[in-house]
Amino acid sequence: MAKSYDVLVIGAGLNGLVAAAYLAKAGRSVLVAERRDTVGGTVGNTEIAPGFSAPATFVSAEDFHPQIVRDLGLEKHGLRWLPGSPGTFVANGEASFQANGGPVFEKLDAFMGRVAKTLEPALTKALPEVENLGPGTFWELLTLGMRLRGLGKEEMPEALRFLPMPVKDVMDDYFDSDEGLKAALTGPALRASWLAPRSAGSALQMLLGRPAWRQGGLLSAPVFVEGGLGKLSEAVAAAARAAGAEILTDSAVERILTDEMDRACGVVIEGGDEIRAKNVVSNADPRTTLLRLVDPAVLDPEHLFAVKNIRSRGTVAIVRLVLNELPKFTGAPDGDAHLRGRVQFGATMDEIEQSFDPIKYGEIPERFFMEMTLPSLVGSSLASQESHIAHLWVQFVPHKPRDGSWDEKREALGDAVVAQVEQMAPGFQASIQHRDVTTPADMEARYGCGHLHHVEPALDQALYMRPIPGFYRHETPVENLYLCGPGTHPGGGVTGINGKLAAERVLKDR
Amino acid sequence: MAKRYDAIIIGAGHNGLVCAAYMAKAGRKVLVLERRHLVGGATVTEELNPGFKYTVCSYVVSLLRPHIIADLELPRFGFELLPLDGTLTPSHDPGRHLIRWHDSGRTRLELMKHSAKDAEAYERFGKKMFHMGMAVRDILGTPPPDPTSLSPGNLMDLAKVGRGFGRHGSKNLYDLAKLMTMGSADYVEQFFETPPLLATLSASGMIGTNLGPRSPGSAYVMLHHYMGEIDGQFRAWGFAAGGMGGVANALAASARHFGAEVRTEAPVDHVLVENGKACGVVLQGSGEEIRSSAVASSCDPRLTYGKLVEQEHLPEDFKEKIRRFRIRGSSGKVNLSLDALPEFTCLKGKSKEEVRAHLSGAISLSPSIEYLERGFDDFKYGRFSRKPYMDMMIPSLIDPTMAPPGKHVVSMFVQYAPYQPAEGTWDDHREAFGDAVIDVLEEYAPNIRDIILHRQVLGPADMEKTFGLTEGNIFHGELSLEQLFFLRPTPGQSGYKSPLKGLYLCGSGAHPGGGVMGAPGHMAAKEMMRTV
Repeated sequence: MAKSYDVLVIGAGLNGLVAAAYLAKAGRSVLVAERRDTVGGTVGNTEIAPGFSAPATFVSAEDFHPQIVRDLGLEKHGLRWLPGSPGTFVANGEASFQANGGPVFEKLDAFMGRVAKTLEPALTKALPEVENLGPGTFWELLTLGMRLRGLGKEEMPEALRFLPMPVKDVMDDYFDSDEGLKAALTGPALRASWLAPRSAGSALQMLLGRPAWRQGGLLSAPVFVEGGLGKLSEAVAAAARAAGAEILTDSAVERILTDEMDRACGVVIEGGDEIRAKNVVSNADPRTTLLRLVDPAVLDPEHLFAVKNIRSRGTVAIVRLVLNELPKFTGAPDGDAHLRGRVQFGATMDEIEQSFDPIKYGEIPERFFMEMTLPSLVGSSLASQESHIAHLWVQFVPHKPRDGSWDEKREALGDAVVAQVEQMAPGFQASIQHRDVTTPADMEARYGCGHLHHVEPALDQALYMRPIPGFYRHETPVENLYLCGPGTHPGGGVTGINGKLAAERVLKDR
Repeated sequence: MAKRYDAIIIGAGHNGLVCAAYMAKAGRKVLVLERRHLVGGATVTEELNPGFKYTVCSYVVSLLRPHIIADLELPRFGFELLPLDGTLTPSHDPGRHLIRWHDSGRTRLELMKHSAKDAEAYERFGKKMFHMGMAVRDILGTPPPDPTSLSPGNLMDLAKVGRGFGRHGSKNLYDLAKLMTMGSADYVEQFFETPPLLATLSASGMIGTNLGPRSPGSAYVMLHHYMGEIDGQFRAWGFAAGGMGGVANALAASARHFGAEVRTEAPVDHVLVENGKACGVVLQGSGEEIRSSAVASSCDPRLTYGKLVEQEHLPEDFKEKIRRFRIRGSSGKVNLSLDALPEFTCLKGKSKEEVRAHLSGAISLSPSIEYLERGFDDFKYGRFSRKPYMDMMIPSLIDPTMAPPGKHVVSMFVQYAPYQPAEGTWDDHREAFGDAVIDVLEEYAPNIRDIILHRQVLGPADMEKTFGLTEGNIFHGELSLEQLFFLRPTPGQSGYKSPLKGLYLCGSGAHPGGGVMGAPGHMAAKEMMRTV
């Protein structure tokens, strides 16, 4: 006789674990089935080389919602934050630049802060259900509307104007020159996206990337985790287990079972085990969940059209390095404060734009827009005294190269990245002890989706249209099947909110 | 004592004339002042080479509102629309081309030759665009409410817009929201797979914009252009007899018939302001003062508020918003006089009649999305597209009076050309741009070089100089999301009024934006007549 649970969670990624922990705390019997041998997914640690474990893709957690830390008591489960330094060092040879602010920046940052505060409820709660205008929904909408109006006669229209804009136009509106600062503010808005500085909607990503609950504004410090970001997922897993959830690793879900009414009722684990559950919550991406794990025949043509057309092209590669000395950037200030924050490659908005152009044609750019962090430098046990870990977030790379495969091009990509850093930090190449390159193809093989946010951040895949229009409250067209990954509202990144909202939705429906 | 007018309209572009005609028809005393020697603004026909009439700037009627044609009795004043049938996407090779006809059954058969999937999806795509077009069409004719105002009237208007949208159902609204925010290439790729079809459809999302087919926001521009096809059943899609000047002349004749005065070669220097209110204009050169109760400018917002009004009359924050108003030009125009019809390689072997039928509509040089997007990449960094996209027409095939017998005129709308090139000035690049256009055309029609009798090349800088279009933007301001509806031209100052009492905006810089549509002129007239 197959075992039965209240909720089965597919995938022990960060959001799957958060969902499991909340559901277990609410008294539900929960099983998490994970394909890999570890928890965390993209928010996990993997080895670069024997003895050197480091964050696999995401590296810092400044956007993780503090309410979740409190609710799940994560600090009791071993979580320790390690804040880096604020500001971004833009590596550009003699013209290198430490972006820390300035009066115009303060004005923009304060404005963005007020908009973020206004939108906070929309990003931390389920969106008001506009199709079903009951008194409750009406009240929620009215409150949101009043909050927006609360920005005032000047700032509300400015906020509305701002949201759909390209980030380049916003920067050019606010700053006359300051190319380095503009680039430093533009970069984070484009993380993991298929958007360039000139793409409409990148300003919204800039706003979403500056959530109200984060400490510090647009140039805030990265916040690392003792032992690597993977320890965050492990702490959530520990909290989930403590609340009674079971987590099974090495258990890939082959498909989702549906009953005669086309409702989800459990899963089949590869190898044949059937597990029954009243609800299934998938941390896999929406396309995998609804096109592969579910028999697509249960979807009506309109939903099938929407799911098939979700864009989730990976644009990020991760290059991780073990170094035997810290990089010495030309034009860097004294000390290592700039290395405790973010180091950006891509010194002007046009440079960033030019590293985007080739991926439109499936080509690999000659120069990348990159962010480097050195998580081992900030009081963590990631590396020994003599060595350091460098983590490079590399954009833009095509999901699939136009000719050839990533298997053939992986090491050439690593070489190009290292060469670009070497130009800005002579001697860098010689300091490399070990190197590990992760391409979108590797992410797809490892995590099931080549896009770190599962669904590309873009205007037409945000809010009420994330992941598909009309299914923005973590439900799917299949009854009893929910989504909890970053492809859902409020979007990607290490926030944990997707998992929390999915759990709340499941609890509300029963 | 000089005559006093109810309203002076600056500029006899199509919107200025529409505004004047509606006001005159309602009994107002109206004067239209035009800088050039002819009416029409960017809606003109000019004989730049004797015997050859060029539709110099705008070249096709697709968006002119049917109710305006009827209200202003345009057919009575010589307005005649000649149907355009077919959009041809040629290739370099004999026998290979894509053509879409007005008749969807015929198009389906044509598409079957390329892809059964596309032929099947074409109707679904058309239906979707139709539904969204219907939803947007209501908005085109609605003056935008102010979402920041708490006045009951405004809240009512806002609710009305919401209800109007609501009627179309949540499914259509989601479709519309997707369309408003997507790139035109991404949008059409949901339906189709044939490269020239994908490119030709998504190219209409580039026209006049600072966007490439992959840029979010371009799908809305595609819909904006699709509207004409939706109105096709009302016969508002086609080529105006006599070229675009035919539209302008009919509008001017209608305005005059209803009692408006239209003066050409009467350039306005600035708006006359007394006691904080616009009360007339002063002409350039003569310094003549003409007084009126209200003034409407059909020029773009940057020109109107930046040059025609003395700066001390405008609030600082408004001036800042106008400075930020995005009005980057991106389009060029190449007009040709030809000794014969260009011979397209892909039409070889067809009969003379078939060839003429294939060339009598739009001819879109748009082989693939990548081709278009690479053209945009050039433009982003301040160069003209080395391999530009062209929307070509041969007006003399549709209206033989456009050229001497046996000869032809060609109108080519070209994306992209920069207003301010990264290097040098536009004057340095104009002819090279013209050459690039002819080079591309030659790949399709190898005899083109031998038959050119005269060539006119216009870039954004030329359009600014000739037509007063700031930075050469053909829409009087980009049709980007943050500059539409209640954000057009600026947030907090949408609609047709301006911060200066008595001064109105009646051109495409106001909602609903550019194209030979006439809606801004009509709605501005209504707004003005509330007080004048």
